Amino acid sequence: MPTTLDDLRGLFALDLTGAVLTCGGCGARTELGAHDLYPDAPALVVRCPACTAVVLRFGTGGGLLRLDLSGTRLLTVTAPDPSAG
Amino acid sequence: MAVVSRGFHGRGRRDRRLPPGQRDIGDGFPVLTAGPTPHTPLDEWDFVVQGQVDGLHRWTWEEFRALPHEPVTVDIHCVTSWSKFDTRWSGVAIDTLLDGVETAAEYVVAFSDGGYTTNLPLADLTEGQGWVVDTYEDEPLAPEHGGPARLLVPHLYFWKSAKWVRGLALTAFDEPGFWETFGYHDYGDPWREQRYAGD
Ligand SMILES: [Zn+2]
Repeated sequence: MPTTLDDLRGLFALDLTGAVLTCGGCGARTELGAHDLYPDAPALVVRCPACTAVVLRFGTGGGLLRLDLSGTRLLTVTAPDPSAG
Repeated sequence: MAVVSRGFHGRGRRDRRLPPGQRDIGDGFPVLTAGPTPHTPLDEWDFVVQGQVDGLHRWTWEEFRALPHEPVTVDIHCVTSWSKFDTRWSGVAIDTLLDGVETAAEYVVAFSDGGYTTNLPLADLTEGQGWVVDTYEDEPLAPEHGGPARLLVPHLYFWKSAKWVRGLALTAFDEPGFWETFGYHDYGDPWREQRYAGD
């Protein structure tokens, strides 16, 4: 089955806490929940615990959801339905 | 007859210095943190002007310290609504850093240790409007306030005055920075209350 944009819905409906991010700066692989979080800012800033680089930013201001993953090389998360894989 | 803004009538001088929606923080100096405080050793620190320029312009810490410094006393205005009057700094004017730099660029992205960036029109940094400061209230600028050196552009909201600044990238086009991509206003004039995109 080819992958389509519709499949993105499945990704963003998941609980991402257990997702593993590969840092674009140093290559460390870390569970999302084990990162250093800086919520005291206009957006949540998520930094790599190994090198402190920003791997993810998430903001909810102004009626927009903003997600910046430019500091993440790869995001992996277990598919909820084994048959989907 | 001149039109006088009524809101200023009968108020003291300080109120006239307070942009709309701001409050005087007095002796406080809050710190907003989006990451750990960088502690770059001074022998590894440098400041560069790069991008659309005739080659790379670079100063080591010693070279930067040897540049002509000037005292600056200004009011600063944070987007989180505090203002602080008569803050005293010392630093190198951007005019000094750009002296002899050939460029056709109209915009600047200031970049910092820790990955922070902010964008400004080049015209807002020159002609005595912007500095790289290394001294606050006669003391070396503390790391929590952006030391060893930070940008100071007091006529714009203080997020434009990038802490831990390491250089300026001169660009032909406006490239939104760290918070500007997340909803903060592209320009950030406190007197027009340009806090968020669309303000
Ligand atoms: Zn890393």
